[in-house]
Amino acid sequence: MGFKDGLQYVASTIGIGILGVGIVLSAVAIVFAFVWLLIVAPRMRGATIAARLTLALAALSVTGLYLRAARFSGAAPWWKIVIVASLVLGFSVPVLRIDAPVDPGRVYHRGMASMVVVWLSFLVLSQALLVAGDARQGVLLYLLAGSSGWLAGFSLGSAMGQMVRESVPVRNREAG
Amino acid sequence: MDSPLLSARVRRILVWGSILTASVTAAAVGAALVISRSVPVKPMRYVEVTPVLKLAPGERRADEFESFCLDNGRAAPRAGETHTLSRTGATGLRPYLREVFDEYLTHPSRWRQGDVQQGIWYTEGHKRWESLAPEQQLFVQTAAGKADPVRWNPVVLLSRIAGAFGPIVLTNLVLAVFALLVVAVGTPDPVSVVGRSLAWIGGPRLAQAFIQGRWGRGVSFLAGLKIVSLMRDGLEEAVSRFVSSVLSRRV
Repeated sequence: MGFKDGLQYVASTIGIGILGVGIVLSAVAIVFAFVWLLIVAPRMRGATIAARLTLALAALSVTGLYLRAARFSGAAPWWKIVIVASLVLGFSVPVLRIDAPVDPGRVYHRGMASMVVVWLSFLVLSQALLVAGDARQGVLLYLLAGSSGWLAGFSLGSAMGQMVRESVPVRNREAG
Repeated sequence: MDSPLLSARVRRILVWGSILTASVTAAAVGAALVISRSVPVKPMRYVEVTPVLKLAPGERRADEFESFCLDNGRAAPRAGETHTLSRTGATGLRPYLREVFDEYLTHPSRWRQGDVQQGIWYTEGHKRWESLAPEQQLFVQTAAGKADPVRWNPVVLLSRIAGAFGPIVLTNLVLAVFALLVVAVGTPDPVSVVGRSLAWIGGPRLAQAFIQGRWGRGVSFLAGLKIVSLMRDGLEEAVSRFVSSVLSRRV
């Protein structure tokens, strides 16, 4: 064995240790991320554009990063189209329902909470299958892509809808 | 006395960090030296029997090559897809791949291409030794000098663990950072949200320690950053004005 091979051997042993720490950290990280999003996402009152934009960015970038992994090469070739389609759908639903009556005293959006739960459940389930050695999980990957696009779209669409709703009385006052 | 640029604590961390890095590097180099001296190097014989391919600038030539797939997980190439002839780093990075190619190139008539292909995929570490046919096992054993050579090899093991867990670790850490950003941007008191989550998971003591400790101060610092407040309030106002102006134009 040459020196380079020997160094590779030792560096890999250290790398296994570092990756082990990363695995433990990532297991803790997803639990906290799950809890934080469950606490914050359904309680966003008003438009809160920045927070909803960050939530949408989180859903899209995390799903994109995950689905681009080499292990999923060819497993779900249409995932980008699914994300874009569900994003448009998710955005359209709250925007089209602008005129629907809204309870002003509502502080907890159960729909938003369930969207976060569905998206993260698909992500965790897919990760569990990947660890078990099953990378050919086409349907699950499409469900993950769809749920993340829907969450991102709904998050942005509801912010837009709320903003329009809030600006209508101002406009009426100005007109009156 | 503290320097105006670096506090005593930062200097101490830098010094100890450098010492630790240097020690680990020296230990790794020493261990590599010991390992490389104790395991004999197998000479590569393919250079003696393989003709060297030389092309003058602008020269065109038609040659036939036998090719092998290095990555079993990749999708098969499509019909008509162009291939590029280039040097690969895989032979230097993946254990026993060089030996496998050396054995095949020096004894091409002895081994079947299909068995060699299975041997190459075996060096990735995803195939079990028992799943190989007896001829394939014989080929790998002849090339590497021992049976089931990749078992417990740290380089292959790291590659396998990284393949299975790498995307998960990256995704989860990025998700946690984004979730923390959502908390920092979306709530007026992010420390209490993080504290509440800690209380659920680890109990009230942990939450108390976090809120009063430097991590709590770190989250407060993150939430109080000018860029975060600009995102929170400035963006809201800008989009709100835009929506109002669009609506007023339409009436």
